[in-house]
Amino acid sequence: MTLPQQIRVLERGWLSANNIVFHEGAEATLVDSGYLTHAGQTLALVAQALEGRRLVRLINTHSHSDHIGGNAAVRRAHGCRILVPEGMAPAVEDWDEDALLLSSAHQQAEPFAFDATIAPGDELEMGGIRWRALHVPGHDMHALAYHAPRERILISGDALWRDGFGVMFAELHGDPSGLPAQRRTLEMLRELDVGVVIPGHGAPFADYADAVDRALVRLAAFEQSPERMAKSAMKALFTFTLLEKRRMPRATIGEHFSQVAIFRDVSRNFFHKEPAAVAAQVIDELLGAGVLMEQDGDIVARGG
Amino acid sequence: MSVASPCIDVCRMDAQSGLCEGCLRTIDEIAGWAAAPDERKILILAAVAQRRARLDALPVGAARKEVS
Repeated sequence: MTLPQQIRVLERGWLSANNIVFHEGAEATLVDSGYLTHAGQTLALVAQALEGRRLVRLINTHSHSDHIGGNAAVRRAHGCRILVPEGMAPAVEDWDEDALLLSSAHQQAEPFAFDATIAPGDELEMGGIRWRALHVPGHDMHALAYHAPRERILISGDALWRDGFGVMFAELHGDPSGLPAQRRTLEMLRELDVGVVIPGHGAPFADYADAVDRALVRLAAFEQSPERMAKSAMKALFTFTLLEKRRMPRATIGEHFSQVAIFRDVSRNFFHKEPAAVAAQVIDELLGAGVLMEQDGDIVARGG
Repeated sequence: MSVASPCIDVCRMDAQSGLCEGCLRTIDEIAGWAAAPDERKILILAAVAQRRARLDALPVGAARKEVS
């Protein structure tokens, strides 16, 4: 699996989405900026990947904290223009922390200004390659993916990973349009000619048809069992919280689930249980799977 | 699947050592990870293991610059 020389993927973990640097002669474009608390390292990685070029544009795939958290810092450092998917523009303009899923999921980002928007179907050039913006609602109802038909590359954001896709936020917030949208998105993606995917998280990968099939199997399971979808989301979101906080006293996590809207609402609406009871179950399953550990009464992220 | 990334989502550079506080890699090693062949990834993981061992051997509070 090789990408054209002018594309550099900066791959980290789950808290910071992949950053993609495109060399364009003396200039460069960046896609997505990682999580707020990682912005210092993001700047250092981007500077390394620029290899002396001037960063002139930052483009986002969607509005979540692990993709936009470094936008303000990148703009301060480089003075670049920022382009966002048109559907997320109002929430960014008003810095609507609920719509951006910041307050409701207890996540952080820094307000930023943008210069232009990208609409589904728009064509743009990055790294001397023609890309078409594709609307890929589901995980985020306004998300865009970018497809290069000639080079057969797909920048999929969190609409498609090697093994799955991002949490179905709309459904978790009581909007039943999320899963049908994700199905339409995957069925649309299945028809694309793609040789390499640069996902929002994880290494670039080549086995495209298999990845779409795996995502469809996962989606079918979620369609059959909303509780299964909700359980999977609670585990993913709590792991994300722990990656940022690194550790939390076990005794405080029930209260955290009661206070943070997405944990509280999903506990009541999907499991019909008190948030603390759902928290206890989520913790036990994550400890059992080895995703989190317990030390001195604290629940701790992998790597301490 | 190829060599697993050592990233643990700490992603903060230690100014003295020039290493990420979480995965103990240099900026060059993190930036080059996605495109690195497996042989280079294995070398980086070996270097990380050495750094980790030396860090663990240091007395608590010792300067991290001794490690790099």
